[in-house]
Amino acid sequence: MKPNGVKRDYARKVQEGTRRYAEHQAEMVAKLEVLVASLEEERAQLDAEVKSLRAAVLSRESERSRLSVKMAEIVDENKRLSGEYVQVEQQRSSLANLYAASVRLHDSLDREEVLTAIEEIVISIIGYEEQATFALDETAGTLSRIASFGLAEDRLRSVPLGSGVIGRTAATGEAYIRDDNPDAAATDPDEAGLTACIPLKVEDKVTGVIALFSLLSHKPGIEDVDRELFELLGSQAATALHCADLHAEAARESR
Amino acid sequence: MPKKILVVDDSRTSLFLEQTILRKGSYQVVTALDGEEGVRKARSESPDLVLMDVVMPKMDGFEALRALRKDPATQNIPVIMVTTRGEGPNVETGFADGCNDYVTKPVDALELLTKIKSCLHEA
Repeated sequence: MKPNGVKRDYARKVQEGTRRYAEHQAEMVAKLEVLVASLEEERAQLDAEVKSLRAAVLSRESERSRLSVKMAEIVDENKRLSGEYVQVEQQRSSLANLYAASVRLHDSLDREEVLTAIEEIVISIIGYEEQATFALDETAGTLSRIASFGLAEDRLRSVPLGSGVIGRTAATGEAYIRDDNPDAAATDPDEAGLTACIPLKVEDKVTGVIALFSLLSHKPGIEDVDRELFELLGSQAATALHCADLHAEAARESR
Repeated sequence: MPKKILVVDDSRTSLFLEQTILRKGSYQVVTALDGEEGVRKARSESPDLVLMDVVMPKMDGFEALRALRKDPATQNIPVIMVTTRGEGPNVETGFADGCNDYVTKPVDALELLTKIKSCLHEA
């Protein structure tokens, strides 16, 4: 049996120990509560950040969709403008061709120079490798070949008015383009390969004909600008030749 | 300083047309009427590029091209051949003799200017 004093001491120690343990527990609880509060605050902050980032992502995705649509519109517009640019450049090229042809036809009063200009226009601007220019002798009723390239010397030296496509072009004053008139294609062997025939007219009066045979091999066919050049040749080449003749006549008379 | 282009062609019509196109492209243009004159002017004018027709009197385009390539003063000038024959021997001969490119007659303005820009390394 323990003496009473020892029991009292033991009880005091247990009490003290319990008290200290309780204090320690209370401290731990307090610390944990502070920690929990801190963690909850941090969690709240992170939640807010996540919410903010989600909103930013949604906003970016919306912006990306908007930009994708915008880009598709710009690509379409770019394609349209590229097409228009090509068209405009083609028109500009056509105008340059017409301008060059017109200037060349009228930059000389020498008949041979005018005939050379016609030949060069036909080769270099339209794209033919065979051509003949005829002058009409109304009295004789014939067309005489006055210039040519790519044709044999003895081919089509003279064509009666109204005969074959060339003669009919002179007689009617109507241009012939094979692609537009497949049924009226040339049947005369001398006219083999004839693809276009242009009447030369001065004030609606036929003075001759330009006959065009083979296109250059890499040229796929007659284009719109070529038709405009045919019209230009029909009027301006005729006028240029007429002026050259008048100039030569005036020069002869002044001697 | 605009780039200088020497156009060599015996056809005054082609010369006029090509000059018109090149001036629209803001190039300075010098002309020659045959291969001989073309080679002389290439040496005296130092063009940035030569447009060379093939069929010409006195000296054709291929012979002129070979003369340019032999001369250190002109061997590096880009040359674009202008031909009425767009395939086969004409083109092969041109490239074998050292041309940089070719265009066919009738000349397409956009194609010509694009090829010139490419040869001159322009944007």
